[in-house]
Amino acid sequence: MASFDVNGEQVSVDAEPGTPLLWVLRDDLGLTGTKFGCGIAQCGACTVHVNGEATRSCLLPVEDVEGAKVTTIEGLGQGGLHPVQQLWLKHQVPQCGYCQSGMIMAAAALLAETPNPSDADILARMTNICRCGTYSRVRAALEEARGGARMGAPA
Amino acid sequence: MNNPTLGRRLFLQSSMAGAFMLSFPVLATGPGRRDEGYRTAFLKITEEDEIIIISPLAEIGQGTSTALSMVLGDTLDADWSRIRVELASVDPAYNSPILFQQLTGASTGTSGFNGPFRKAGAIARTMLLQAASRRWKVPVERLRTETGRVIGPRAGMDSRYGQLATAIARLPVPDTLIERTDDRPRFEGSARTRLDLPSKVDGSARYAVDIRLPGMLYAAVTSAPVFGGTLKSDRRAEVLRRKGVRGVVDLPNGIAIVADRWWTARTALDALEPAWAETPHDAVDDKAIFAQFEKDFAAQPGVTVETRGDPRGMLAKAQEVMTGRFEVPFLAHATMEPMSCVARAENGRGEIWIGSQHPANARAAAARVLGVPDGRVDYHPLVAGGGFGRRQETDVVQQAMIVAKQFAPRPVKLIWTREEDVSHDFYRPAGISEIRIGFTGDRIDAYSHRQVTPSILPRMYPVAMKAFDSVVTDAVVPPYEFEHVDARWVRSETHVPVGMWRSVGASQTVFAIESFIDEVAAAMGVDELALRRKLLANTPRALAALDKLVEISGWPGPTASGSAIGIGISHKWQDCLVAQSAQVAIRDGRYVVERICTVADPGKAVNRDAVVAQMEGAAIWGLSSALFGQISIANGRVQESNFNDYRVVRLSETPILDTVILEGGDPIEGTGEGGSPNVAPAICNAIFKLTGKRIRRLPILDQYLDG
Repeated sequence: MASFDVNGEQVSVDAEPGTPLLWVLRDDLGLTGTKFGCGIAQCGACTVHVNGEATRSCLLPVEDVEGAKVTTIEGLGQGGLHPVQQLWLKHQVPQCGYCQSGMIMAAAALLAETPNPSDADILARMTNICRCGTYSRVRAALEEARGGARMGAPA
Repeated sequence: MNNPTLGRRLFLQSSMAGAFMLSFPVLATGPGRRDEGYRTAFLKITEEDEIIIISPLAEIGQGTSTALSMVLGDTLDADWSRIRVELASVDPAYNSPILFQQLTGASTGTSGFNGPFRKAGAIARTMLLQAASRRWKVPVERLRTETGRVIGPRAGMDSRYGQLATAIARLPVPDTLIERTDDRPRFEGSARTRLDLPSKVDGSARYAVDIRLPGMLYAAVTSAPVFGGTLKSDRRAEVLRRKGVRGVVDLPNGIAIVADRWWTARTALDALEPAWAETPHDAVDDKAIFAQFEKDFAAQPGVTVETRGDPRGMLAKAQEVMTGRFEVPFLAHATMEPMSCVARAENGRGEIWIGSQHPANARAAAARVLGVPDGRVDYHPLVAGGGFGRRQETDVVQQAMIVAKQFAPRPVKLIWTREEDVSHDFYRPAGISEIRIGFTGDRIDAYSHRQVTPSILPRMYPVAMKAFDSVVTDAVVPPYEFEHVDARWVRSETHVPVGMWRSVGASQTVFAIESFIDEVAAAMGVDELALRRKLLANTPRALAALDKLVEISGWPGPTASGSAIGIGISHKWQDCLVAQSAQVAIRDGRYVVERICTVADPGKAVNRDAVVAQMEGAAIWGLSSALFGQISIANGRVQESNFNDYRVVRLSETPILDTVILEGGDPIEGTGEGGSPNVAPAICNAIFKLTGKRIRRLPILDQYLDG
């Protein structure tokens, strides 16, 4: 049994110890916006916020979030669209869209912590994988979020 | 397209083609039932004034459902805010006018369907005018449409389309269409937010992995590590005792564990300890596969793919002859949504929930498991988390239905692990390309290109297979105006399954050609652009694309950062003409691709931003495969397992992408794949400038970095 807050609601789930938060969110709580991509915390499709911090939920045992505040893509906008989601629409970032919940959660956490991120901040924190190759749109959206300063070429 | 006959050869089923072509206008309309609005194959208009566009294509991120909504919305004169998209079920009405089956492939979505969708909108608009004419007793000539309304000459004559929907459903299909003549802006060519995007930023888009049904069970799968292997033994007796495990089901060459939760099934896999029977392929590795390619290459001249002029005679006469060999490995798709399908069986009927690129085959695969006619299986289409050709396959549908049949009538959601996905794909074929070019001075006398690869078509589309496989040999003859050409293919099968993979054969042939043309230019002592321009002197669109590329890329360099710029140009079958450059530096002992410039000419861009997005995505697709992409075989099995060892590009490795779309005029060509094949040779051409070394084998990895 683990109890925690999801998108502002207190939940208690009866999951086998060791069950990753991802599968509790998806299969027990029906929050399917958070995606399974690799299961080894490589791709970031499962990124949620745990106490505000971008966290890959596919390897995180649910008992580790006991008492924590978890935010998923469904709760990010708190009724409307979060500014990052709005930027994602404006720059038409998603293609297949499957990785984008994780991508958006990573970006939202980055900007909450560092409203004006440097190139290095962005590259260090935006490590999610997108097979459609939407990275240049992700970059454009984050450039706008930090006031328009363009990112440099990869170094 | 450099070779139209190649296109016609592929997929052409002449007996059926004509019938489907003719049937489109008829199928575009049809009577709806009373009080249900207007319901046709491509368009529904409800009494609530919803304009529902039915996309015959899978929505795998390419955005065709929005492009088709734009062209139909234009001829209909629709209110954009009323448009929404549904994905089509299985029906011959949705067969591609190019591929003659309901198939999302070969970048033919918008190019194939824009005509029928334009017509469907014009038919409905004509009928709306006719219905209003009857209702208001005013001649049709005195009516007009305006953004989703029909408007007449007198007060009160103003009706939303929805208010006329049921009335038009009772009208006959018009013989002549009343086309729009107003000069209000059209959707086509304007900036439109893709209709599928809102649900993809708020997490509400539903993929197969997201389906939740009452009583649903979950399945995880493990397959024989050596393709085609069969099970000898496992510890299922113990696995079945685990809490929440409902069953262990044998699959062709694999095992599914069924449980109340997916995680329970997934963890039970680790306890299953399957032992697999020996296979004839247990010792096969990459070395053996390439040795077989070499042997077959040496023993066989290959079948002719295309021939022009007198290549043999001209090669003999040429002052110099250069030969270059290029190798490519197997590659996995690694769609972000791992293979997944929900299936349910009950009383000789079935249902499947999946985003399929080939829904009729998906349905047939499920029906075969149940032993029922295809029509007894309902296909519930969903958006899919990436396709790239992988979702033309039906392996996961078959598996899901085998499990669902055993647990009928409970629905079963079967999800592959990433490890299963990487190690049991239908891979981009490995192969070798050998090019010989004879030249005298700066004139090319003859071009010869011989490939050895496994085949794709005999398994996937046997009716399309001719003496050679037109998809693995795609673009084996480049758009260059060679007079003397000899293109051949040697078939060499392995036990590794192969299939369609974004850009398919062009990913091999263009790498070889565009690398080798640079080598020849260097040997001639002319620059690589001048040689290409000379070989395209009578292809104005290609010259325009090269000119634009030079303008935006800064070619020939070198750049301020000391990096070099390589270029490439190609024209994949059914896809658009693309010229590309890659700017590459060597930094800290590795290659860094700083910038990729893309100039694409698809004839016409319906949704320009979506075309740009396709080019950007294709560039990254090509970049991942060029730099890192490799599926290795050892002991008969795939060595890679997940994104830790099947490496793909991330944001930190993403070059600056600059993309320009040129519109050279009709016909509209595809845009899904053409932005990919040039990337590897453009990078290799830049590396040649930096190191003087020619990369002949992909992936690039760290070749020549140690000098």
